[in-house]
Amino acid sequence: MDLLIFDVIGKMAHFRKYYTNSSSLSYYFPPRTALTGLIAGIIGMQRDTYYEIFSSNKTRIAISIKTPLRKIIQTVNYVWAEIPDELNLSKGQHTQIPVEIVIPDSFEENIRYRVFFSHEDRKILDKVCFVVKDQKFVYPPYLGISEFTAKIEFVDYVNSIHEEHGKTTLDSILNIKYLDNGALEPSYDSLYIKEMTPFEFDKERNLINSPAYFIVEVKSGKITVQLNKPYYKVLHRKGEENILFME
Amino acid sequence: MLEAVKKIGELSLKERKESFAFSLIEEGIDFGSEENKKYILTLNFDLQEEKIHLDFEEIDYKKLQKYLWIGNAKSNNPQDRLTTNNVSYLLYQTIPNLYHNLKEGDLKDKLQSILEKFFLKLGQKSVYLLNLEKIEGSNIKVEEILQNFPHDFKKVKDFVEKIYEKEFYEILKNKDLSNNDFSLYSVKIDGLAPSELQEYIDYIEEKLIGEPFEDSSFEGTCYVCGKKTLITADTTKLPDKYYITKLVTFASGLDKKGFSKNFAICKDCYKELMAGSSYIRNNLSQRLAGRDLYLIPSIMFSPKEDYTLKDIVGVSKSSFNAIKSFEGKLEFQNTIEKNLVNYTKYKEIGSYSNINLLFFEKNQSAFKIKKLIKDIPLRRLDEIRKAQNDTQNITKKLFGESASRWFFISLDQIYYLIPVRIDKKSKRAVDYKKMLDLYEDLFVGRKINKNFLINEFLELFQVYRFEKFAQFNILKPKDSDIEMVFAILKTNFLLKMFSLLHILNGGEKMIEGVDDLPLREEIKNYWKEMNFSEQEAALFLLGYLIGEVGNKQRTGESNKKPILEKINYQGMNLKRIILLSNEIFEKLDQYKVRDFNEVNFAIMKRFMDKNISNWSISDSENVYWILSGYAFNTYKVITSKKEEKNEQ
Repeated sequence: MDLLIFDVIGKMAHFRKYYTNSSSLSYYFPPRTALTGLIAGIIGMQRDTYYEIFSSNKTRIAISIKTPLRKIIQTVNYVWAEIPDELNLSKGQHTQIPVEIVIPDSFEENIRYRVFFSHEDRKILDKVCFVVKDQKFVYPPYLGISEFTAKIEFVDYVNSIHEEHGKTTLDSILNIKYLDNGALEPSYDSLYIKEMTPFEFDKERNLINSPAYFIVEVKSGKITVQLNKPYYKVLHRKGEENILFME
Repeated sequence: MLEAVKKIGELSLKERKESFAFSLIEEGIDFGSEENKKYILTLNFDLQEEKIHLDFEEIDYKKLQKYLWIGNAKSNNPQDRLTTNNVSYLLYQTIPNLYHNLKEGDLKDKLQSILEKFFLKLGQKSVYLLNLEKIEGSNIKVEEILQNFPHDFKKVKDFVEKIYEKEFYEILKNKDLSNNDFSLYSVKIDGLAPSELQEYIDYIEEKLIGEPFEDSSFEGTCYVCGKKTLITADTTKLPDKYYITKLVTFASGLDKKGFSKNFAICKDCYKELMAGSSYIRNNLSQRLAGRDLYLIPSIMFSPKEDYTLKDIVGVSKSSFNAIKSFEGKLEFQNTIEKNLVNYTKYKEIGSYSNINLLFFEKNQSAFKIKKLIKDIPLRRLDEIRKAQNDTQNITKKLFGESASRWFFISLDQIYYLIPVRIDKKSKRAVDYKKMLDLYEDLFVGRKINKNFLINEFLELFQVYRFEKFAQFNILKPKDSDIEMVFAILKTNFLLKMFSLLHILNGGEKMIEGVDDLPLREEIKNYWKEMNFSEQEAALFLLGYLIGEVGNKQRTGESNKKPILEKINYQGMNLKRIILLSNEIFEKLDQYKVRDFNEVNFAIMKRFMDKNISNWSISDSENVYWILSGYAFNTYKVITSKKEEKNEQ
């Protein structure tokens, strides 16, 4: 399997949990739906046109967190509009929304997510690889909301990954269904968070499949675990990582 | 978080095995006290006698169920609940609204009779008003009161609340009752309470769950459980509104129809979320740092055994309360640590469950999340509890058994060691975020910046020293000087606790050979327990000497300690510290305490001179450790005086 690896880097991020809005909470990582949106954007696909192209049976995506993360809440003034006509601020009102923002644990650093991307359509994979390498983004990348612009850095393009079994330390986030009870090894310095995220939309942007439960470790990004399915060892220019795709 | 709320709702519905409406019982009502009990007043409509009998019963949880108290209708919805905490609703709104909304049936017929027999139909818009003359024992002349009945429909509410309600209270007065005795008001129909009226229960359930599905449901995938079934995007009936559909700005495609693509749920999940929210509100509400908080247990993995919701909630609450307050710690020791069955359960549940702390602010129906600390493993609470206990043991060793309670560093206590500015008008904390961030760092084990803490502590000491209590979360004590001493020592122990938890940034190498120093044992013990570096110890000793002078000053004519004015709470650099140490030497002479302190002074000077070229402590921290030494000395003097008194 050919795999494109790139980093998405930014100072702040907000990936709104879909069941919150008037107080907007955020995931620690971009859910699969947000990642496909980001990739579709950089290669110039229009809003709501790419859901089938990046469906889970054609696309494999994994993500790992490369910097310790934390969250803060800031209150933001939003436009008050009950109908579209009021979007021009004609009501003269605003509403204050607490927004949870993901930031790096250390202010000197940036947030860095590593994305592992593969697609059955060679043309799409090549196109994404081209824009990432040449930094020729059609729509600029951002971390969840357009105010939080991001940089993308090419890491590597690998032609093969190795299937492995047994106990491991994963670098990516993990779908909880691949985990048996008690198979997650806690350590003194680990902080595991379980998140329920949407997984995939149909072409009308309606949810298909159940929301998925993922486990993420937000201090080191590493999860020591005994899995009930094989994982993948990826060797790339910056090292070796054990990953599971979001599927 | 949503999945945790749903799980709690699911277990709560499964375990209660009764109509869904009963899982929405609101317990947050004033039950009164032993001396001043609160009651529920019922208007019993006797259709045969055509009389309203007033009855009352003491409020307890069973009565809340009997009268099906689930709160008033929210926001601007018409009031239709037979049990309310606002009697004016029963005087004109509830019965007509309920009658209007009910399907054909026995209850609707009875309500029609009630409207005909007990209500007056007034005005052009046919407002129904309870005929107070129908109340047994009433000598009210309604006709006279109604002379003031407004022609303008918009003013009816005012009339009922300001005039008519008072007349109702007059009737109570004649029966030696007062409206202050009642927390709730309800209705009986021919002696039947709301929980005995099946049509009413069905109506409430339908109203809360059915309505969102009536017009706006569609086939799709539920955003919570993933089932393909009938779902709705109308989430207006969900309590705790952190998700709203009122503003188009939140909708997909900036079109309200787009909400169906954002978040839509099935009937089962709707019920479970409502039941879960209600359970959390009733059973898991807490206060911490002057803020409202829900403690929401969540299950990371499926448990090996079938524990009940009560088990899971019990364990989560006990573990949290054990670190929240000294009383909670004692209860934890008694109910869990000393009980093998409970302890086994605690360990088992603790191995797969977490807690979420949701800090929020509620203003009418608006619900704003202030902080969510997610997925705290119960083992982390164990670690915190252990660090608290270890710190308490140190305080016991240093200051004795009786003092250890005062120095117990609970979560509640921490709030009073970080000064939080209070808005004078609203009385609400303004800069509360730093406090919630600090709790988060503690719960998730993130490093805390020591300089941040030291600066906060210095601000706290200024609150005491300059009596700035009105602006902060610190209550004015009887003796500010003495309370400041306690506060300083508590901050020492807070630092100690954080260092035991390995969450404190910074820290110097501790002094070698403390035991060989010719100092009082109590000082050496303090240094050893608190892991002082030489620089910290030098400053501590300087503060100790300031304490010596201060004690002399206070025992003189004045009750004040002018020596404390030499300390600048904004911070002091090394140059000023050296000047201060020279001044102190003179003062020791002046107040004739040099003889007892020559060794102290010499060691202070030795440590200071040794480190002078590589002084690494910040200006603020310099002051902090001086004050720590001062507090230690003063505390010892206060307690020895008390002991002397006791001995006499």
